[in-house]
Amino acid sequence: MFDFSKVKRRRLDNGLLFLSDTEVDNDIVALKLHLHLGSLYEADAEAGLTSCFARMLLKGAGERNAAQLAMELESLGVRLHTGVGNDNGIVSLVCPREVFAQGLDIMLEVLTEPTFPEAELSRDIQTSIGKIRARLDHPFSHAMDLFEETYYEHHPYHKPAIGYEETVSRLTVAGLRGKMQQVMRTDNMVAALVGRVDAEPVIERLQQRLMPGTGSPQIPDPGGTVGQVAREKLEARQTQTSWIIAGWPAPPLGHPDSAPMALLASILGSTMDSRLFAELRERRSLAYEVGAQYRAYAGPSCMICYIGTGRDQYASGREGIVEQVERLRREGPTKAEVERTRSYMNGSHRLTMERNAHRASSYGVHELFGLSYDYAARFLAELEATTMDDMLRVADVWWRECTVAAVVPEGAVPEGTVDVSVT
Amino acid sequence: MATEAVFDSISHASGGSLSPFHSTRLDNGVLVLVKEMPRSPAAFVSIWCKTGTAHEDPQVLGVSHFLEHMFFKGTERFGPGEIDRVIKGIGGDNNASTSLEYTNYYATVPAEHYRSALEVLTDALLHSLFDPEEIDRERQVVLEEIALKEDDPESKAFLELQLAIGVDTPYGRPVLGTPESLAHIDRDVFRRYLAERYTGPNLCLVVSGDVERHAVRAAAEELLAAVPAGDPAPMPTFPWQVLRGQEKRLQRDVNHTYLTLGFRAAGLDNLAAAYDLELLAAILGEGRSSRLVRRLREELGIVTSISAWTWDLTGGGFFAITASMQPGDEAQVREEIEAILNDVRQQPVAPWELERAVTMSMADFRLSTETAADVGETLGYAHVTTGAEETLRYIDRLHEVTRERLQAVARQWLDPATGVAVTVCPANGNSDKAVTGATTAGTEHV
Repeated sequence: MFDFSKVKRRRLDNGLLFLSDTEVDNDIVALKLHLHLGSLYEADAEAGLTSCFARMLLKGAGERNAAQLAMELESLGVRLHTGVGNDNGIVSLVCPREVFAQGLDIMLEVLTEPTFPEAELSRDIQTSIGKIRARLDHPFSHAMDLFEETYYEHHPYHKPAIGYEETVSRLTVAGLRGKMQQVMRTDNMVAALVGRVDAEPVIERLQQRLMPGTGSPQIPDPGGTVGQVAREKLEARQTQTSWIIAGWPAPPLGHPDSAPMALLASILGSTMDSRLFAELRERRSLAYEVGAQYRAYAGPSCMICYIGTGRDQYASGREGIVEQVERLRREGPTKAEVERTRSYMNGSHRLTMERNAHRASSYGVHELFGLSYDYAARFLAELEATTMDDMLRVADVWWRECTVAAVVPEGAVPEGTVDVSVT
Repeated sequence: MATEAVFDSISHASGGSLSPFHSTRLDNGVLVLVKEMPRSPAAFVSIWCKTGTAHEDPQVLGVSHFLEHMFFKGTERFGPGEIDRVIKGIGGDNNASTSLEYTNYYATVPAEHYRSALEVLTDALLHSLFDPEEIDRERQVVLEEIALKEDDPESKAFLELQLAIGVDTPYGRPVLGTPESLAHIDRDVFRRYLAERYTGPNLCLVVSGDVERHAVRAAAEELLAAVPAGDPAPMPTFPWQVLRGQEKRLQRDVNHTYLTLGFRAAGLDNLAAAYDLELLAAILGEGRSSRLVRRLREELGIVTSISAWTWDLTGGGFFAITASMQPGDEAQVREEIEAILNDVRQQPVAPWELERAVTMSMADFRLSTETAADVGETLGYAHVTTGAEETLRYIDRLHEVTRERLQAVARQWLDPATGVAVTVCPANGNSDKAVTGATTAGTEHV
């Protein structure tokens, strides 16, 4: 079991929640800043704004323009990255220990003095439009986007983080500045440091540079009801394979049903001994890629199964997935499956915590969602305590209606399929 | 009883977390490399074989990769899928991969279970059943894998580039094979290939993490005893000369255009030049201040993405630039790439560019050798390429590179007129301006 006792948790004078784990054996330092940011924090009409905001932080800060920032970071060997998802964003610094202080200075400048140059925004918009179009060229990502639009429908999570062509075309520097005011405040973020460095100078710098906002941070209610009606949406393309995503509602992050759901999803499709792999790939040779994931967010979540199957195998692939989910829902897993999966999840956790960057992310993102930095330990204990009845109940309660989205070869659309478009 | 003298301890001041590691050879020729990491919670156990697509009989292309799949499809002791269950049951994960010149099988497990991981991997290596029904089933899976890669424009461009650059050599073969060649592969083919290629001198066991080297050796001696000794299987030799330029355009149902421009280059046959080319790739296409990214994406905004990379092989290497763009920008992208390549051929890069590339590469080296799995993977890959000991000198080698050497390799290998350009583009007759660049060998449209 990973030892969380070495993590120090402090609320700094400026209101920032700061976590540090400095009992580390190697010379790599990770500092992660997790923020309330992402698709949840933007209206549909401004889809892509928070993703653009995250990228634009690195396109000029203080006296440095984008090129100078890039040159300096790369010449130090510092990795400074930003990103957003459905309901959280990250500014991540990972580097060798000897350049951490310099990397931190640049990170703080990026966080507090971004310049958002108009010319850089124009270029970013063009690149984003390119990326949006390119997503359609990769059948799996195309199928995932289609699933999220269909499953989440009107909930903010339906939007791809990068946005749409029409919305990103309208992004403005004023919009970025507005987002800056809204999110870059100490009560909207959590900082987590992992590395063999003295935390005190880091704390001093964070306290000097990061400020609380005025009033309360605007954190929308992530709730909502989705996935209660069965849906099927297909798009036909000139491809050789059919990519199918089938999803069911699942409990959000931190919900009492999370641990049983995680066990079920893993049994279904997380490793090469899982049910989907064993049945659809090993026994029936329907696919090279097949699996399941439990996607837990602050808001409505889902358990998805995916398969990349042959040209004329849409029906077999879809039915194969549904059959395995239904069987698990009806009968539950075997004792051996549960024991094995518990062992796997415990082991996985231990192994992933070997990496400093992952450790920092784990502490930070769990605190951001009010779950505490050592949530993983509690979660593993919940896994241990989960009973067969818990799993049967959870599967029965959550896995009712299925949403299917697929990208299939032209000419391979099954008869009777209602919602099909050809792109 | 194993003694201290059985192991060579290999260390180097700039080897970072890889140094020291320990090396020993079993009586049947299997090399065992151990990196003890007492504070790691993990053990990474991997078997590397110096065999891959480049060693195959062309009639049975894809046998190395297919064999890799079949190792998990049943042994005398474990039924299909049971190896994965064992690894999962001890809290670990496992997988395998095949390339042109090597195949590897690995598991990452909590450190206390390394022996169990070694038992199942060696069992798969030595006692796989190759049941004909399982072979037929898995053949279908490999065909699905081929189809998946066909559908991805970047995978397709990469494959076509590899085939074109490797033409008339063992490097011009698809790792997955073809539907025709896969149909010729049966149990006898697997057994013959195993007997020829999976011999002691061709095999290396790499174990890293919280393990003790003598215990690892004892386990390896016991579990790998049945590996046949033999001579190291030679790598075929062939001329590797600069090609005439070629173009290949493939029209697909895509919105973007995907260009891969590649060259034959130096590889493991000329290590100094291989390091030069690696740094040149970083100067040209790694990071926002690299030449290609800076000019084509950050300044002109005519690519969505662009990068440069190298691939080092025994008989030579690949150097490639990969870019994605809006279809209408292709001509300008090609011109700009050509201009940048000509520039590095005509004059040395700036001192800051070399320093940046060296610093980034050093940082990457350190950040990618943090965990037991990272270290084991690095040592294993080094063994099948440069030799494991050479990888400890990686940082030193970077510092040996000069601007003059970079210009020299650029002049020798990166003449735009000798480039192989593979383009996957929309099928709707996009309004490309005339494509400039190498067309001396004709343009193939598919």
